[in-house]
Amino acid sequence: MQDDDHELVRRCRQGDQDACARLVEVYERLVGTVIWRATGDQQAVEDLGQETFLRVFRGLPYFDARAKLSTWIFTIAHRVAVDHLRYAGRWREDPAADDANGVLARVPADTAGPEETVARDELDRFVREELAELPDKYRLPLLYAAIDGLDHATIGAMLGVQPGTVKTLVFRGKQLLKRRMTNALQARCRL
Amino acid sequence: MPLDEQLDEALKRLPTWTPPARFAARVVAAAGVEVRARPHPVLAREWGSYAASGAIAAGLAWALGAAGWPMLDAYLRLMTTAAAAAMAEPLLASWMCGALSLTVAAVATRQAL
Repeated sequence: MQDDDHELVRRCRQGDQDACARLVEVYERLVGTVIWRATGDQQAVEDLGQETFLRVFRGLPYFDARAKLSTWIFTIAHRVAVDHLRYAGRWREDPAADDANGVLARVPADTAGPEETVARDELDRFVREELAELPDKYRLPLLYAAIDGLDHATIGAMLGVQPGTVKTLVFRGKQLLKRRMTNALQARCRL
Repeated sequence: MPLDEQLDEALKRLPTWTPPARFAARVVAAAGVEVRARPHPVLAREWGSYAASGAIAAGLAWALGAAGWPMLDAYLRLMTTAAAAAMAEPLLASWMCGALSLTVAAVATRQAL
């Protein structure tokens, strides 16, 4: 564990509220992104993020100082997201549909021209729709691997598999996604 | 652009979550009960382990002494074991420190009797 994290955990265990706030600030963005990717439900991210940190604070006294704090927190976030999906009976529901009008559907504009932007938006929407149809076994590793800051070792710990397995799942997920997209495009062309 | 690259680009473009203002403060306020200072259960368990290992070591040193072994010899043997253990496992080293402290106390007490 890094010294900063070690010190943060020590202060949190002593009940230092500033340290607790700092811990949330350090990890809130990635925790929220993990939950959003897993659930696709932007409205729920804030509540589930809060639930994640509540579990973190409850678990801090039992946290093994030799473990990596970030991995432990992201694993809790992943479990909170999966619990939410199971509780809501939405484990296989289409995440893209929940976010049809949400931020996930809005891609920040860049310097591309209007036609390129439209084409890119269309592609992104298409990718999200097909991603939502993937089995969770491939969908989650693929979505997590696309998060800047999560490496295969961390994702492996979150999912309870070896880093090498994550790499395989991501590769197979991409192959599956490509096949689905190709099939869908061919079906559209036939219409 | 090949589909592979387009796919990678599309995955990279998936947005990240931006926390609302004062999210951390609200979380900490909600978690007030959880984060208040309280005895550390792991630490309490460790202290229990130290005491138990110390008692065992003290008993062992006492028994060795009673069997006719010089107390210093018994103590040095335990020290050697502790040094080997310290290299293998830091937590075990902590336990051994506790054990050695109590062994010294046992030696001193026995010699005083």
